[in-house]
Amino acid sequence: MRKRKLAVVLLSGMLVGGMLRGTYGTITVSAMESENHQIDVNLTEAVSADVHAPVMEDEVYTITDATVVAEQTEENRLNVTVTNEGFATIKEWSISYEAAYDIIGAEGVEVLDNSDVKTLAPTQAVSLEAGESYEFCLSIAGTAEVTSPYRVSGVFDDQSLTSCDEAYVDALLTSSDFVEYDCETQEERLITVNPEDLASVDEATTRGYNGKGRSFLVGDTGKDDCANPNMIIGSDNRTRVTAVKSSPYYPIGFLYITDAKNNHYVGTGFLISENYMLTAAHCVYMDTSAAKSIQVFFGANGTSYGVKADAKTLGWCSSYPKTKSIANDWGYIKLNSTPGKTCGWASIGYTTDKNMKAASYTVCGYPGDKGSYSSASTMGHQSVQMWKASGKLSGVYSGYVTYAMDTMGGQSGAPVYNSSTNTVYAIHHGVDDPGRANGGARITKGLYTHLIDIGACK
Amino acid sequence: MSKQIVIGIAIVVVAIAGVFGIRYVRDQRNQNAFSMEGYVKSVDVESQRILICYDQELVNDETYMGDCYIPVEKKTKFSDGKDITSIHPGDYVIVEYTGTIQETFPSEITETVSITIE
Repeated sequence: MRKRKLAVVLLSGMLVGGMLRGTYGTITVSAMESENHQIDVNLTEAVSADVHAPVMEDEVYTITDATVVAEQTEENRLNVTVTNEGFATIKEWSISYEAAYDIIGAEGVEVLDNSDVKTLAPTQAVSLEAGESYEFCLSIAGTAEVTSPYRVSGVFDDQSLTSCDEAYVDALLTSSDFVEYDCETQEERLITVNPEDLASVDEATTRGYNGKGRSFLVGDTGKDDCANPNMIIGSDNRTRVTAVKSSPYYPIGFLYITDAKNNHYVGTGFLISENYMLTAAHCVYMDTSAAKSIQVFFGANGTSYGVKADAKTLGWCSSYPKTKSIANDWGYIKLNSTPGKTCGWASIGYTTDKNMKAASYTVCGYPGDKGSYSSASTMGHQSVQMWKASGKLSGVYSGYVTYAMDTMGGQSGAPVYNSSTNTVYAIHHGVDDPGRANGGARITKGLYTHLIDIGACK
Repeated sequence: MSKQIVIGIAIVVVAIAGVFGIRYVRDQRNQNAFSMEGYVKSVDVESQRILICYDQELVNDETYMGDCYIPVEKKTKFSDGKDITSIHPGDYVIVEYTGTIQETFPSEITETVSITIE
């Protein structure tokens, strides 16, 4: 066994057993030999799981209860065999999700607090060239709940499945009937599964199983989900951004906010200069007082938090705390460092109503229904995802704009920018008219001038 | 004399219009109210607000931030004459609200009309 670490890959592709709750997708797994005959499994590429599951890029899981045999058979070639006890049987590998790094060296299964239990298929030996990759399916069980319309639950025991998509469809078809729950009429009805509609995970997810964005399994009434105040308008048209360190996304920051009472919030903001960022007033003024602290992360994706900065000075529209009007919901953060030198910053602008109505826009931020957030006081417990949605404005008013672009809690303060020029014209507030319109504070000439006057931008 | 009568009538008319006008506005507001439902995760009497989860399973998950803060205002109506001290973690509440929803996570509604505890 060579001590030097070799990037290799393992794993066969079939999911052969285990309870499935939530979802899974195709991910590329690479393994790196570490000390003590253990393999650090690096999930490097979430292909479709990102829609559903907290399988993030660059996350590392450490399998501690597996027997790992890695043998270098020839130069640049490593045979890796990973088996767990009872290879032929269904077995759960309990892997810490949030603190995978901490369990390296631990013996046996260890599930830490705040962890998700992930069910991995027992694996078989694969012989690969160094650097070669292999796809396999990963199922996820636990509390990292799926927030998409899909909730799949069923026993997965068809060993003939050869692809994740096939497995996904199989799970849908064999688990149980689906029930559609109509939030308005409060009626439940069985719906017929059309396999062709579920030919792929992406397609099924994007379309929404019943075309209305809500479908549930028998036994899962779905009524709880109807309590969601319709931040998603119609079907969910958000798409994930993984190229978070490219333009125009890099200057968009994830805000981890702590208020005066040590409650935590997630929000979004964006750089407008080297060390100033714009956000919503309610991201810097919580409840009845200014935020106690705000950590900002640019280029954050999964548990890779990118460039970090801390808020040094906060400012907000003084009338917002009293009026709570969308038009006044803007604030700024002066940072204690200059992340803009690395990440760049967004251009902001104001224009006429006519021009505003004519253009297409994108709202982009960190929605709370994606990723995995925790009220723990450190960022190490957060797993974040950037998402965006695009469309026209549905209303243009003197101080604010409305739109049907889908957003969720966590996107307060996100930039609403021209999809062609990337110039920001509004700051996302939230829901204006549930089920019909979201809205944001418009960048007016007055606000623009004010920001220049205080030196926030040039 | 007739001038005083006219002024008096005008005052009465304005007063009546005002009363009915306010009632009309209130009715309109209630008609435009929306509702959300969820399980109470925490109650902050000092800050006069509650935090709810849409998913019952997350109510007792101490690491979960919660889904939406519900401010309890003076004008907020409670079912059966209850108040914020009647609300406890785990209660299922139906919240009628107007205004907007601030989309931090957890989010927060800006104006609570009524809270019904089930």
